[in-house]
Amino acid sequence: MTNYFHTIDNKIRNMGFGIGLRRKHFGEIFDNNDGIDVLEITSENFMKLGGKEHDILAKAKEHFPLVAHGVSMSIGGPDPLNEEYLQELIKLVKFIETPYFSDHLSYSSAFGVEYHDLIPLPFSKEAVNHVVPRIKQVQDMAGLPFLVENPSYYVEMPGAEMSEIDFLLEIVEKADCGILLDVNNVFVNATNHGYDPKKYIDAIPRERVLQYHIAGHFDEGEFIIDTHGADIIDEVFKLYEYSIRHTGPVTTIIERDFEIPPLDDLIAENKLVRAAGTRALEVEV
Amino acid sequence: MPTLEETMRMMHSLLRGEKTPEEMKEFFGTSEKRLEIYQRFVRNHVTKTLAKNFVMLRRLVKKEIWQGLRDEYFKNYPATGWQLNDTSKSFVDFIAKKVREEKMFAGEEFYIELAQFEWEEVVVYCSELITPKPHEIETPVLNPTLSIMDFRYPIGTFIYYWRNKKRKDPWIIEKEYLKEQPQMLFLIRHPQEQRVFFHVATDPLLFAFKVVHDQISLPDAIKLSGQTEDTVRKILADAHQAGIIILPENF
Repeated sequence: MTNYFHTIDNKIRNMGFGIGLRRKHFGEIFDNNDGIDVLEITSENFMKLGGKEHDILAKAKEHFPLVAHGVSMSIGGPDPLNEEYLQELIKLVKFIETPYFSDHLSYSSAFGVEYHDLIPLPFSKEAVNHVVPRIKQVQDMAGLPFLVENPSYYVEMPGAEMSEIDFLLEIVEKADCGILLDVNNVFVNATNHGYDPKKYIDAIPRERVLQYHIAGHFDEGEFIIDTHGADIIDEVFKLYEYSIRHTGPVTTIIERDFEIPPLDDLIAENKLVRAAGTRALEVEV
Repeated sequence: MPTLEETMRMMHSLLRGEKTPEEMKEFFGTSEKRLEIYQRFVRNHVTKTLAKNFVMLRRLVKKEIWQGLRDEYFKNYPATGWQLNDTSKSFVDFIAKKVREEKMFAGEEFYIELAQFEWEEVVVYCSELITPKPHEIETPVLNPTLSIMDFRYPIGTFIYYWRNKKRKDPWIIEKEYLKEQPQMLFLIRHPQEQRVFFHVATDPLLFAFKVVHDQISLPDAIKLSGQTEDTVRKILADAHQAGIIILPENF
């Protein structure tokens, strides 16, 4: 079995700080990008598209290192992995020359229907055994390391036999893949399900984390929702610093999908993330 | 303990709206409010995409009628493609069924054609075909994203009128648009602008289309049309400017 995960060196592990490439910023990103070291693309927003998306992507890969993050692989879904989707995804990741690609540890389609949302899996042995060969399959097809992201979830599915973190770790160890650690999701899940986010982070083997996501969320009172539609709050920054102290420097991307602010605001927020990451490592020294 | 498939099937019933959060809260051992989040998110992806892709149609019908349409569509046309826009791809068929079988909108086929136009705009925009640049070709070519639509109603005139109308009046269809008046439209994703434009198929545009489609040489085009070389060149240049054809750099 090819060992994709271990092909990642420190240079790839830490490509710096960046943002998700969004349509709103297409016209500006190449002239206004102070402090943006890397761009993340949402794979589905560029797959099978000619026109503006194709042109922007071709230009972006000349200016930035790019990483691909998807939302529709449905790695935990009950149906066979969508061959057509995977072929298109692979075409994209080869085109942008990303060192790895990622999606969520959840499912987004079932029984022939696409939900276009991330549905949580039960933290069960059956789910582990279901997901692991599917991750191996996509890694083999792409010939690249695959990272699973810890998704946010609002309902713990029935049938849990282990904790959320044990579920994640068992899968990444068995599938030998990397982790895209979404710090905001850790915060959201810890708040919504009542656990200590620092203990979650402490449990993660540092070498498995190959990328971070950081984002804002929405407080709905009874629980908080991972909307990617607001600024990053202080508690999440603090958790990010804590996590960076644990993992060392790792590529970090701000995710913003709703209420997308002007590029200048994201550039400013990216500087705050960089400052937090730098601060965390200074403390370690 | 439920199996993985049982759990997913229960979730599926919730997400498809076949069961209510109230009915499912016991199985999932959680509050209705938390289950509602998932039901709402999945539904919103479809309804918001419909609203984005069928702006004109949505603005023409009363709010409660639109809500009824989107609810019925969500229920009966589950999304099967991974592309978000694909959630709307059966909406034209759905509208056609409502108009023809249920006589919605007084059975006016205009509404079907409007929906067809709006969906085609999405298809053309999303085309994965790459339009060649003038320096990459040696002879004139058609824009590969070109779509030709034949309408019984003056859809192009209607859309042009409403999109250029700055007033905020409630949207209505004046009777003139409901009279049959065949119109052929060219839709393209413009090579420079990378936006979708439509053009009513005028004689000069149809001529330019034919010349390029049939690979007619410039001398033959001049001869066939009986026009001067300057006139033919101008017709082709205008069609190039419109994005319907692509002329080589040195044409």
